[in-house]
Amino acid sequence: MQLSNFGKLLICSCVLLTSAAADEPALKFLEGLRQRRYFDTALEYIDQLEGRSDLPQEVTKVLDLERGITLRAQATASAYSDDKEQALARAEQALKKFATENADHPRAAFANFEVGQLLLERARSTVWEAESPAAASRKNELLQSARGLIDQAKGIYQVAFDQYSALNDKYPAFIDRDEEPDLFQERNQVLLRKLRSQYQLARCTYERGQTFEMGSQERNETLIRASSEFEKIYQENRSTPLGRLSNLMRGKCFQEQGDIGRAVSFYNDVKDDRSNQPAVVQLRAYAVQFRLICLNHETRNDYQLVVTEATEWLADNVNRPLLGTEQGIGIKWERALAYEKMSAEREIEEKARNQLLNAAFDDADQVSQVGGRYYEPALEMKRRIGALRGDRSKEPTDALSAYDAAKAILTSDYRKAVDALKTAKDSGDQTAIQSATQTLNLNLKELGRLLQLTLKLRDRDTDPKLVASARNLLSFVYLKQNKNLDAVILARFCMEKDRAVNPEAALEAVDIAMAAVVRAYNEAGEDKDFEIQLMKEVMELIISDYDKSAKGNEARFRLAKIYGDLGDPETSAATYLTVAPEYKLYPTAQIKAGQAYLTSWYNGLIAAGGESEAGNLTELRDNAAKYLRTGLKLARANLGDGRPGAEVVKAEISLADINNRQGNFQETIARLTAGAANSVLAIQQLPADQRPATGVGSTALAAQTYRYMLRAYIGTQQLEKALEIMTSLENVGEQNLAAVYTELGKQLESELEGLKAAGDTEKLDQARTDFESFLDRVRERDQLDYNSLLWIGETYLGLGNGVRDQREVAEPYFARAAEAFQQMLDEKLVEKQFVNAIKLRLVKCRTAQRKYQEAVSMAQEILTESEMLLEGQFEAAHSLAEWGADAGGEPDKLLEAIGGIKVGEKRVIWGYGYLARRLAQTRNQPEWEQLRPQFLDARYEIANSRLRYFQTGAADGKQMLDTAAGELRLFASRTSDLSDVEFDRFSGLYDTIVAELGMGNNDKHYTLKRFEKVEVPPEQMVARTEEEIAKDKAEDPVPTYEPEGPGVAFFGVALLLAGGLGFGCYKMMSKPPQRKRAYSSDVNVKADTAGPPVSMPSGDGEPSFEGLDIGPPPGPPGTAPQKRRKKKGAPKAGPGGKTPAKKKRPMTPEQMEQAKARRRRAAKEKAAQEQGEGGPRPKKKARKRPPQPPADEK
Amino acid sequence: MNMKQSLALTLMAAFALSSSADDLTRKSESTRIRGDIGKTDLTQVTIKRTNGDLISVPVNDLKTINFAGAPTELLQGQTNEFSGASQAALEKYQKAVGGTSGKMRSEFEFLIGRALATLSQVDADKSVEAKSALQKFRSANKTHYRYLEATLLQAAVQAGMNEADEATTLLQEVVDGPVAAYKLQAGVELGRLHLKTGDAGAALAKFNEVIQQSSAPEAAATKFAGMLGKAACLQSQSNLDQAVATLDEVIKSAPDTETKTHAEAWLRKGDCLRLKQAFKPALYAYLHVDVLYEGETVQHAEALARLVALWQQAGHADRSASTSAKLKQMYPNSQWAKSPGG
Repeated sequence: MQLSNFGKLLICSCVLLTSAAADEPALKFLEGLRQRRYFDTALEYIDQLEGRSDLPQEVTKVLDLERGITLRAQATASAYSDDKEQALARAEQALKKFATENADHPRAAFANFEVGQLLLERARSTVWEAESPAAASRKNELLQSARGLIDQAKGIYQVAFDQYSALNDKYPAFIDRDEEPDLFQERNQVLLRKLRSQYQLARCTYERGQTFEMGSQERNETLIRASSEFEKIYQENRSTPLGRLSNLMRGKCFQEQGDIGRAVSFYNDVKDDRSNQPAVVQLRAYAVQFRLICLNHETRNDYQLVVTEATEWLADNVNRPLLGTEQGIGIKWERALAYEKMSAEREIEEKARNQLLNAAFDDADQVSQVGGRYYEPALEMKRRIGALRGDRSKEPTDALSAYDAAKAILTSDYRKAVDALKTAKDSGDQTAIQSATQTLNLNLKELGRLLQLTLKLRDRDTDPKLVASARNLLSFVYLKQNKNLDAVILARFCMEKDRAVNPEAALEAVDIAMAAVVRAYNEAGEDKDFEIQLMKEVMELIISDYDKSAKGNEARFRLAKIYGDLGDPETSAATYLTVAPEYKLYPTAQIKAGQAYLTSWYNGLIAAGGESEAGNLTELRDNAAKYLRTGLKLARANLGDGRPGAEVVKAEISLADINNRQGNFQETIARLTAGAANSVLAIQQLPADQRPATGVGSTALAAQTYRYMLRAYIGTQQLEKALEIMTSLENVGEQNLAAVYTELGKQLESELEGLKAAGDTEKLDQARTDFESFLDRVRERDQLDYNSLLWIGETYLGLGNGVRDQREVAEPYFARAAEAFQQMLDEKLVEKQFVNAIKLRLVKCRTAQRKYQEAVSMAQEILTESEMLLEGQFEAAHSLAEWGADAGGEPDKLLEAIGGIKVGEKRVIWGYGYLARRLAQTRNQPEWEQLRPQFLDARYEIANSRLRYFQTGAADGKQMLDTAAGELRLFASRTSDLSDVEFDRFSGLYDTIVAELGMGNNDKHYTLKRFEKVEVPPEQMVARTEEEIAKDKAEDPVPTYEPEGPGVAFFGVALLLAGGLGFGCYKMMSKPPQRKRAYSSDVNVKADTAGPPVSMPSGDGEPSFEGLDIGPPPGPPGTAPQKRRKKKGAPKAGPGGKTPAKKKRPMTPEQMEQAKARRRRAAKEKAAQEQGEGGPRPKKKARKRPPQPPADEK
Repeated sequence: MNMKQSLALTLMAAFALSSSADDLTRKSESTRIRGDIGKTDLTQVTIKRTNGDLISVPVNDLKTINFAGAPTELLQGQTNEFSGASQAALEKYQKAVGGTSGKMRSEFEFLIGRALATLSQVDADKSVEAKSALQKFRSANKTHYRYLEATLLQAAVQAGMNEADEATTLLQEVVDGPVAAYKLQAGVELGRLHLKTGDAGAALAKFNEVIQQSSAPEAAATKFAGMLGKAACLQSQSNLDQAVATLDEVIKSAPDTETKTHAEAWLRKGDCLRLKQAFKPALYAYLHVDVLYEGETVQHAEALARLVALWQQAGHADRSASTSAKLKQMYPNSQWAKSPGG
């Protein structure tokens, strides 16, 4: 509840009137605010008081206590479990703070007592949550958690009881009331507190019993124990209200065990007490309610008595203040039940039956208007009775009737239909599923109709609360009908406009709006810009309107994720950091902030060419480390000694990366081995055949852990341990160790480049020394097998690449790398399918050693046998380019790098030009997504090679440069799907070329222009004739590539089969992060912001929709899910982290026509098949993707 | 029996018991004023309450007026009209008018014209009849309290019939008249006419004038109408971003009770976005009219027609089909149901 104008006025008045006085009734004022349920105003007032210096100490000292009491009262009043939980957590914090800082304060014990109370309250909330259908899968976990809370509370009360008992013992056994009235009172107070503590201890036992299943042994035993504890209190304090309450609770213990007869006997005593003392009146209400429940029980069936006693209680004026309490409503409800049961008796006359039904209906109607725990059952009763009375067939003629009819369907028929569908799906019976789905759809349709009717029939007299509820429910129906945008519109309206009149409905609408907008995003086509903007709007609205609530925090989470998906990790991190500390997922938010900063840091490193201290990179890295550490500390505190989950493991791995890069190897080792059997390292040491596909212990995560451990052990020169880890890494169960070692090599290369760019010569030299020592150690092994030599080769290669600018330092590394690879070949340690891959590593080494002729010859040899080896073609072109660009080289080689080399008529080495053309042919194939980065590389290198050719001073260099500029302009203007990052890459090259050509800087004519889309209005999207299509194609300036040699399909398969060392993976690792699909609306999200080159783990634990049963939308069974295509690249953030200008990528007219043509062909084929005209064309066999190196788990 | 029914019965009983009293209600507040309707002219209606107080109600604030002894069809028809059931209202008025005379008859004649004018907005076939009814009323009642309102209605009908010159003449008459609120309203309509005839500059000037003159709280409705008109001008001049900004301002500022204003604003926003080729945002804007303002039939029909095409483009053929069916079912004679997209 926001600070109302009234509240502000109250506070201002109090301050103005009494600011000069020292005796401002601050605490009384606070109590008054609490009594009026102005909790937010009270909390604001406390915040104000804290800032003042003119208040007496007795006031300032208890502000935390007052805050705790207020928050606890707010929690009790809250109807929403997340908000309740949040308020209780904050209350606990405030009360504990007070008790700790003011241990000697007279109210410290009270504060502790209150902590106990709210722990119990949290336990009850948790049990209540466990009973809801939505939490079925977590029921045991929740009940276990409740027991934990109860045990904590019990501990507090036990301490209190012991303290008060000891205090009590210090008083004399007898104190004369008249002679020593003060001492008498004082002792009585202590006794009372001791008694309260004792009662609460018994209450803890009772509540603990409630956490076990009805009828179970644990439940019964615990309740029996509770009963004994209550009995003891009662025996010692028969005449006190607490004593009598304890006796009632004894009855409850028996009632909860099903022993109704015994339970009733306990209630009678209090029930028949006619005293009008407030405490007795309250006790009597409890007793009457409990007794009526027993009388209505199936073992008693004393309905007439229920009616009589309930009517008597309800009519008694002395009970008037209690009519709206839980007991008053409960008593009325029991009467309603009794009326209904009586109406069902066989011997009754029709007239009497109708009277009873009407009476039951009236009671249920009144109960349903109050809400609370009897709301749903009361509505259900109304529906039952309505059906019996024949009300159902009548079409509602006013808003209230229409709404009641809708609610009746929701609570009965709809729920049954949902259950039936679930049962059918569990059974797998397709016919049953179809039937159940149909029933569900019909119910939804009717529900929607009635709710729309409600809104249509409303008039000035219609309760605004009802209108708000109807809107909220209708938005839910739209959501279930998969009308996502409709649901967003209505839910948003409800959130904004109905908040004042019906906050509960508005809060539920928040859930619906979130779910709908997320689903709209997930189901959108390729162009998701609108849906992203809509999600942002909805989340920002929720954050603005529900700032402090759990919903606001949940929206912050989602908004942060949106920013991450938009490629703006810094804003994502900043948004995660706005999640409040009391939110249950605060530790996750901190971790995610850390990981977002980490992503930003990685992006920055790439952009800065590995220079780790450039710009604000240091700050990003430090923030990443800071928030990862904070988040992990909190997460681990919640975990205790328990086994860490995937989120913690991934976060530790992220932190290990940072630590390793900074040389903090000891911390890496300490963190990854802390926890003994539950350490991050230990829990991932599983046999290969026991590794799960994902999560903790999976191949990907285990391998990452080992890699960082390996680096850390090398860094601390614990070489034996490093060797052990290396063995573990080899046995982790990865499909392709080569990719692992390649990755390690790249990791090392990246590290050295970073150190070099930062000018940290000392660390650079140390790293080289560490690795050299380790490699020497590895070489000392008795038998160097394939794995070891591969590791040696890749590591030396990485070392060499890391210092390639220092030729004299790098040369020996390349030489040793080449030796290792050569040894593998000579000793025939390489399996046949990997021989070429190893040879290509050798080519790479020779090129690095500037033995270009040898490198190119080897490459040519390989490619003569295996022309389609993509990595080989790239490596060959690269060798040629390096040869051409070398100071002592041959410039013409650069042209060969572009045009390739023919042997006879056959183009053995394709060159970048031909590579680009061949790769472009896969554009409409499934492999395109994987091959696209290589295509872009090839296109880039064409122009780059021309630039390098010019830079050799060749006579025709300028001509080449002109050609390069023209090629880039054409390419950029024709390529519709370049991301901002990709475009920047080409644009940067173009700028360099233009500068070399001496053209003007900052002249718009000399900047690279992007593709400009032309959207076709919907009214023009009609079928075009074949002639029109042909005419367009003829005029279409977009060049097509003529295939040469084998067909596209063969090319595609060959390319992929050739990826022995996961070249594609290697190349992809150096690409910028890509946007991924964001969310599912009701399950933990697995996708996260895409990582940098080196394994970027991501977190789990997305908030789920509790209490709102959002399942898959009802639809015909077997409906194929809409195919979701990943959007490539990510737009840059604009100033202030705002979303950049919208970038659209619709289909071009040509693409639209191609799609239509494909559909027409498919339709023709089907028709031909049906008519039996030569049968359908044989379907193309689906191409299987060849085994790929394992990708990092994202 | 629910509250509405008991209220209606009470009203009817009260009416029956004191059938000798006239009554009227105002647009600005909902209470009914009972008494004797006295002097009326172009600008106001006076009523003498039973306690002797004399109240003058400006004609632009007059919502309903009932005369002593009026047939029940008067009250029923008014209820039908305000809930959007104009056809039902028309039938009741036509049934009752024959048995009335004097002030009551002229009121019925006006109401018939008004109901026909409302119907003509979604059913062009009603236009001629509407024009005729209103013209007849006006000719016979030049100093009637409903005269200026009837003139505005007739102008709207004739604008719909593309009789721009005649409509302009009628509106100018109101602009020259004595009632400020109607002057502003006529200004808005003139602006719309200018726009319809292609003179966006003149239209924009007129709308800006109305907006400036509508600063008082009671003129808020006219101000928003002026802003909507301004947005339409900007749209016609292809200043789509400015048009959207103006419409967003209307959506943000107009009270929730101004459902017609909201519906129109969302509808025109959809148009602007569609013209900018932002089809998904356009669909979203039109959908607001369908989801939130179905009661505004004129805007709803057009929004449905636009949605048919846009759902199709968005790849939701099922939604397109169901929207088309809804359009034809709810507005069978509307131009939108007959348009290609409908």
